[in-house]
Amino acid sequence: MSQKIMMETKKLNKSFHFPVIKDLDFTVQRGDLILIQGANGCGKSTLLKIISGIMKPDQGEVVFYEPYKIGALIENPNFIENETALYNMKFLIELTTTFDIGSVQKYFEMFNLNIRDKTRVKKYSVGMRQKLGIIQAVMEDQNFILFDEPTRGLDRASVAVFENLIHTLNKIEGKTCIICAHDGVQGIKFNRILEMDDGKLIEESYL
Amino acid sequence: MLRYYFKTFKSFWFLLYMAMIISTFIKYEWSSVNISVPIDDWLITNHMITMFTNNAFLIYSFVRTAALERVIDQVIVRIKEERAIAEMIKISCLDILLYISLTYLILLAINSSSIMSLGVVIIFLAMNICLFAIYEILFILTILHRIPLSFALIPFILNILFHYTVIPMIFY
Repeated sequence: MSQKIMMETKKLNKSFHFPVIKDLDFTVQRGDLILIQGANGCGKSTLLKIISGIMKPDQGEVVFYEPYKIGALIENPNFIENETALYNMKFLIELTTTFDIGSVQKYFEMFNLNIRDKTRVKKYSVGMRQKLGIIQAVMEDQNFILFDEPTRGLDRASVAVFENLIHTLNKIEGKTCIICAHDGVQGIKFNRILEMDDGKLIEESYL
Repeated sequence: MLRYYFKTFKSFWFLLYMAMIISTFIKYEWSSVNISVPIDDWLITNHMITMFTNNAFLIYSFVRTAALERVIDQVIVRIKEERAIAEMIKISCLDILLYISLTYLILLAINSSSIMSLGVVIIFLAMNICLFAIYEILFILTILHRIPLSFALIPFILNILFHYTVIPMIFY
């Protein structure tokens, strides 16, 4: 797999009541599979929100060097509660393209969810919502995927499915993935592991 | 987002709003059977639109706002914030057009012969458009997480204040 810089953050700064991200320079190469670890509140979610465009940095910028389509599951997956899972997926896909049920169905089957289920999302369990959150982050052939605590609320079988999915997306399809997690991702072979501390990222291992 | 907006026309709260509009039509026609009541006077002094029709419409808008507020992050990831704001402005404009047309314009058009002063009607409609534009701005700010969702309840208070303080000061 050719290694080429896909994204770079330049001198990112973000403060709430105190600085969370400080002059953060961080590069991601195409095909990277990155684990970001760190204590609660150290700024991992904030970093993913800034990269995905949900949040604006106080200073600095995020630069992409090649075409990208971001998929993201950051914090709790939220949906239109009074609609079905299928409607929610359709709503998100139709923001950018036409809806094709086939592209979504395989992910529903993978996570043992019924795509024709008429149950409204508000009746879904935490684990089912998490599965939907994972599905929406990958269903549109996104090539730059961000996950924040993706295995939260998932049972062991679903964690294994998630690990296989990451393997397929990264090792077979060559997609770039960044995962922030404390646990539940031991089965994933990351090529980079970083520790977030004091608003900066420290490279712990690089394979 | 526009598709979701159109889908909400089938929601309970929108249907309730439609039922309130029909009730308003019936009430006006009923009250003007024996005595000719000028439609502009009736619209300004009648409490039914303020208390029932407007509140039904505001509940419908609030429920839709709360739904979009939940998914806005996923929307921004896909279409970026600038386009998301543009989509919401489109929805807001349609919302104001829909409200003014369904609540007032149809009734005024049907009963155009009983309009006493066209100037009063224009001022009244312009004030309503301004007021609903304020509501829509609050809804957009709520969806973008710039203000808490509870702020989207302010229109319910403004609706009452407008009808019982501003309208009498200007028109009575």
